Amino acid sequence: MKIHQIDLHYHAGRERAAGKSLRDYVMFAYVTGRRILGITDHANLHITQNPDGSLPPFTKSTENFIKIRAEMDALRSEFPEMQLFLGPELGPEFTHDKMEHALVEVSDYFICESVAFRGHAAQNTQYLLEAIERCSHIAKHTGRPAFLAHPFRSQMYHRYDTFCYGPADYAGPDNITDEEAADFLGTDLIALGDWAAKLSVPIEINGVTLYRAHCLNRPYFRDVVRHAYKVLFSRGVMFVPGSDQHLLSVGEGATPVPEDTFDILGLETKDIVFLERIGARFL
Amino acid sequence: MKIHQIDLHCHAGKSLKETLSFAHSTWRRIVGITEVVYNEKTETFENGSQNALSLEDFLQLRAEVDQLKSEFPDMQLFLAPEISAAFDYTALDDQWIAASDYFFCLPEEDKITTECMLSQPERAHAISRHTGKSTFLAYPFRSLWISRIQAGHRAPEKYAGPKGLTDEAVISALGFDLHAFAHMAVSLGVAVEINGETYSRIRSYNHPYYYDVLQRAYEILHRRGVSLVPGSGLRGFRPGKSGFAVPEETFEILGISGSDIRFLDQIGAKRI
Repeated sequence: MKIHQIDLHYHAGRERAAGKSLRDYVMFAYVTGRRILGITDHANLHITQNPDGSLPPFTKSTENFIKIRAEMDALRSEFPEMQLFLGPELGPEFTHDKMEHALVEVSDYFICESVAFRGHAAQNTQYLLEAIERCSHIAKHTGRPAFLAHPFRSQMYHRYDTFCYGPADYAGPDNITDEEAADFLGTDLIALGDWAAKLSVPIEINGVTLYRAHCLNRPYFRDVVRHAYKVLFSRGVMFVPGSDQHLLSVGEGATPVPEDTFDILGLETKDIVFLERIGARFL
Repeated sequence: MKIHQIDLHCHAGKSLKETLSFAHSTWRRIVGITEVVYNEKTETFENGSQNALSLEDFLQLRAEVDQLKSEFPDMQLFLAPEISAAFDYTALDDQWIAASDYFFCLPEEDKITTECMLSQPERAHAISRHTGKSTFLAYPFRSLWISRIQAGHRAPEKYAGPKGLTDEAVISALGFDLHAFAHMAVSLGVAVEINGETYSRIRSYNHPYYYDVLQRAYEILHRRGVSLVPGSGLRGFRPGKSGFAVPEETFEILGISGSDIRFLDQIGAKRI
């Protein structure tokens, strides 16, 4: 089994394209080679109407997940080669003491987000450390594993928005230092890595972050994010592959699992400890 | 100069100034602005008539490009109409030609045979001869490869990575004689674009095989002496969220740097 076959962050809930069913999304996952699939939806998403005026498939968050769970379970027999899981994505407002029992019951694991902060390194690092701790508490109190999603996304945008593009004479990824990556992404990578390793909280290597870095055209953005993951890896952090795909539109929203970054780190499927935590089978 | 700084396929979009600002902030320095010229009687394009250039539109775009040069002094701006497959290029008169720095043309999207593919470099060559301006062939594999995938072409069950992809396997996957195509392009002196949009779309299919086939197809062209051109195909963007990139990675894998892009000499671009 290869890394691109594992996608633990695959949006297929309320943000589905109009007219698309969960089955359509699972089918797309299947034909794009995904075999261990973590279906997710933003737990804090409460919309009453789709942008096209149609009614959303669900009305309330917890009910949403109960229905997705039932739909997902019903699809298993149609996709016997796939292992399907449900992992709601929890914004920073979710803490272990505010988790609805029904939500926990239907979930196989949780995806935790940090505050989407753009700014100083000290504050950003603080938010990330808190998110790691929150993730750890949620896992402990719910009995469901949890990982931290897309740790570098906001700060990467922040750099672009504030006209920071990296060195003018950038000569390739081998020249990026640990300090430079930490500074560029406004994150104390050592502190983040050590804290995540200590609390045994995995961190996602996120497809959308790398896709968006790629869209910024200058390879520095992609390379600096990859370097940051290298630093985390050197501190003993465990990683989780997730595309964070929201749309099915090929070339305009459908994003791949970032297998190439795992390749660069020398990580294989057997190294994805999180799979064991959720009871996934290696094929 | 790095490859990602060279983008010879950048759609003007609704606001040329915004597009150029985005191009500048994404580090592009040699930029070829384009819009599609197509046959409105027989062709339709996704974005409707806003992308169909009349001569009047085109001359206006030329004036805009020239006017904006002073606002982007560290960029070299060019203007190049993108000629659709069904457009009668002999209709390009002296005014069109005088206002164009170069041309590039699209392959036919619904006829994927060796014969059809071989006719694409011939068409680019004919446009170049008619206009007296350099002309390259844009995204040669986009529709072709995507349509093959959508028709059910799947990665081998035990795919072991790009090293195991032979020329024959790539040719079989794409469904036409790539060697003959390369020979035709070289013999006619037609450059072929390595296109960012194609990579973006192919990556959406997740399995590395699809991406690797594309890479290896370009490798075959390069090995056979085809001149390659970097172009993103940028068409609309949301800064920090979307926007096709110049596929620098592929050029790196092929060992091609900015100084190797022969097409730049043909259009008088200076490498900085």
